[in-house]
Amino acid sequence: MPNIPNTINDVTIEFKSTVNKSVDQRMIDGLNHVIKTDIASGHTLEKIYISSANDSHSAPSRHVHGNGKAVDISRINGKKMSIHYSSDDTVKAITNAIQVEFESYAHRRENFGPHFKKKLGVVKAVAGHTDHIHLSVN
Amino acid sequence: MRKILLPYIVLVTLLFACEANVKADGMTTKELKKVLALSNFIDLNLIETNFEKDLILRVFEMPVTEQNDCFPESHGVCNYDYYLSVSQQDEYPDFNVFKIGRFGQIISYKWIREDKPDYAEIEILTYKYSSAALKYNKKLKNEEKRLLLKIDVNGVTQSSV
Repeated sequence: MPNIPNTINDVTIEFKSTVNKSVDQRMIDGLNHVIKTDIASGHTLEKIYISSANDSHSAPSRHVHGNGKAVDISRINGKKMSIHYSSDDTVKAITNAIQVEFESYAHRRENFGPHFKKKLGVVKAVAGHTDHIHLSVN
Repeated sequence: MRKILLPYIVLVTLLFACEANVKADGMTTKELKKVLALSNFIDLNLIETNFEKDLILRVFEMPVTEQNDCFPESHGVCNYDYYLSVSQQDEYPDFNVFKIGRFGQIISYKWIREDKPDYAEIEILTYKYSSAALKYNKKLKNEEKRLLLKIDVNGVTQSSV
């Protein structure tokens, strides 16, 4: 199975040490769809931090479904969403833009984060996700 | 007039009976306890396939203890009530539980390949009596039936194969 690369569209990808980068191709294509330096107008995305991919979870989580169909992104340009989402315009703009853009990806499934929480395009009331974006694919 | 219409009424009834929609019913706490405590547990995700399974399916095979007409001079399980739990695979999955029916016993399960998300088809082979009853009482006449279960979190439909 393919690994999440260290760079996507010139954006550096950092990983928590426990991350298993081997994921489903659709997940990689989803990241290619949303991780771009100019994803948010007026702000530059240089780096994201993936805190979890095909690891750290058990069924029925989509993280470990099949070849690994979910990722969690918790930092933008080295800044933690938990601290900076509410106070840093760039972190907020980029976080929001990633979530909005993911909705236009053909295989998008879960899209939970500080901006909104949707599953298959429909708002879903779930707890948490103020400190990371959870993206998963069909 | 009734004689003319009767075969058509029977035919229409049979057609509807072939694909019964087995919906989740509200289970009482007592029933739930019974299912969890007494059932044989069958994990359908352990069925070997060469494709990914998009749902988590678990069967609870609960012995029907009230009937005993197939174990003369003894007591045993003639048939089972079957419950199926269905879960999507997500961080916050949608899930449900269905009572899929009473059978002598479900002898085999086959997971049929379907490339639809959040959906599964399982072909089951059923006996009219439990395997134990058939072994104990040679006078029982068994009947085999193949059924196809079409499953998602909103319901299970059954049809003959």
